[in-house]
Amino acid sequence: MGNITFRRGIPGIVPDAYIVGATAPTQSPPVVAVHGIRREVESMAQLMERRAREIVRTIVLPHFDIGSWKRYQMAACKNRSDLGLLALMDNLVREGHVNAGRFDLSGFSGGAQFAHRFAWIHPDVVDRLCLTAPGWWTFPEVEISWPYGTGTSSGPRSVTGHWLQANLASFLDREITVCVGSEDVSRDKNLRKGDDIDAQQGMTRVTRAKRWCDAISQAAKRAGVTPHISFELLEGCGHSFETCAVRARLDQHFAAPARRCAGCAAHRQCTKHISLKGLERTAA
Amino acid sequence: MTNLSPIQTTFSAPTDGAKWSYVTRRVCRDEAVRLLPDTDNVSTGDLVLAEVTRIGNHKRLQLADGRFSPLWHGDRIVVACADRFAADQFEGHASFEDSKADLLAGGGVAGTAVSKHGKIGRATEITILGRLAGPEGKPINLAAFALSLRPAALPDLTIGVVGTGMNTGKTAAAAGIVNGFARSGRRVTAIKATGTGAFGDMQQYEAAGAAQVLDFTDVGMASTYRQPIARVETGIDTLLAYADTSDVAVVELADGVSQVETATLLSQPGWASRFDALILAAPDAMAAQGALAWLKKRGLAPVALSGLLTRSPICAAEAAETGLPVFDRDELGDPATATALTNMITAAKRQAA
Repeated sequence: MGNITFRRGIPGIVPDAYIVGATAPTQSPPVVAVHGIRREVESMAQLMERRAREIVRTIVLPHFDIGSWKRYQMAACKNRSDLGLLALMDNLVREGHVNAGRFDLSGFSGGAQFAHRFAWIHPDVVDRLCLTAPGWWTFPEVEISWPYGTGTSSGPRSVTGHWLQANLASFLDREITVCVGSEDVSRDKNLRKGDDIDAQQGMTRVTRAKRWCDAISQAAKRAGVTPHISFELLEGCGHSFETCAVRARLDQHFAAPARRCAGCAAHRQCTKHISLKGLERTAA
Repeated sequence: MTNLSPIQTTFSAPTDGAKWSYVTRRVCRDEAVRLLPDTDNVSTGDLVLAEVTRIGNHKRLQLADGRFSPLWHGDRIVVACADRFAADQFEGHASFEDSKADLLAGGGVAGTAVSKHGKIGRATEITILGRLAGPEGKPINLAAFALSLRPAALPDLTIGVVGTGMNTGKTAAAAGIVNGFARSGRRVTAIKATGTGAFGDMQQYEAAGAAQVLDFTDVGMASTYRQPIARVETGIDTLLAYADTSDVAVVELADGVSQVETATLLSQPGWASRFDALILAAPDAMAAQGALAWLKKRGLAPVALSGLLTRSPICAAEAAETGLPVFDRDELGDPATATALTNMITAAKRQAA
């Protein structure tokens, strides 16, 4: 598989992972790329290999196996896939594969669901965020209970709503790229459907992505945060990571060149939180 | 001619074979070489050697090394003279009647019980054999072994845990917060700032992942009850200064917010500014409402509720009507809650500014 390393995890605690690119720390922080619910993580790793070489970044692809993390896309699911990813990254730091610090996070389909919820719950560990074609989203609406909104409910995991409300400004203070294929408009079996969600989020992944971008931008302004959100319609692409990567170079959004700290001019990310104003993009 | 062998006299320390209690843990035992029989002028913090004469409420002694030791009639124990405030046990004062005294707390506090909770039996009775003293005859006091003063300093984040009373879940809440921040990779110091010396809370903090645990015994007090408030305040500031190498300090104030020392501290304008946030532990929603109102009068607003009320979903739901998030121990121990608390505190500071 070329420059791809498989790392065995611990069932239910640390997910298995594919490490694409250097297995020793590079100057740049790693990128974590999360698979969709079809769990085609190995093919995704192969499709990302060239990109890892281009930008000299390590790309980590966790594999949330269906046995341990059936609903991993919720992040704060029963078996806490969010803590699984944190444990994986801790292990990779300890083993010397990546440096400690924030990482970029990207996800496709269910992986994008996971990615935006993970970054919202743990905003301090994630830098740039790339979200591609999730079937549905958590919106910044306190009137609507988690997981559709950030409201609290009386049921279990009502605490998640508190986390999201508390973290809103911190979550929004980052570069977020939302991508979706222009032909990803099928209401397939993996798209969550229903009167309430259709009314709240729209009928297709394209509509839902646009509405979420609008909602996030407005929420950022309300929170006094300058939104850094961009929307990319991937022309000629449906709901397939491979198609998006081959036809529309989704891999370039998924794993962008590392930015460097304007303060210390190092590629490697500062350990302190630095706002986007303090960062500049390096040449690809 | 009679061959006289010289008499071999062996001087043993007065505490040989005695059980040293938790509150004596900082004391250099080698210094206790004399026993002063006079106990009339005993001061709080003075170490005394006592003999157990009747086993009562406290059937075990907390040893300095963190173990329990069952008490036996005739046991000799090293304890400190101090006051005690415990709504569900004893109120006691730092004084002895002749040589008779009560074991007021299992951590090694001796004094005279002045009242007790109705469900509690009589105190374990002890006979004071004398005050321990150094070679010059100077009584040994815990204050002599206190941490040295340091310039005022605070860690990046200091969270105070207060409660509506004793046994309302403060320590569980504090341990939860410690665990959450420790799991998110922060170095945490846990501090029991006021109360009566006992190792239970310290062990809870340590088990939760605290890198450093401190209490008022580290600043020379076996109990903070009826201590001059300036001494308590200086003690807390010293403990906080020792926490400045940590990312986070979690500080538990004993008993309820209306307990005399806690109330005095919290009522002093600006005193609570040492804390970036307060978390209130309560047994039920109404108690929480009362404490919130009491705190509000002093310009203080906790950022979250916890405590015994979290064991009951209907209590927790009722408490959530206050508009504050309600976190149980496990939720506080979640790294995600640690992150959320940090952001809540940041937002509250921004709003206040």
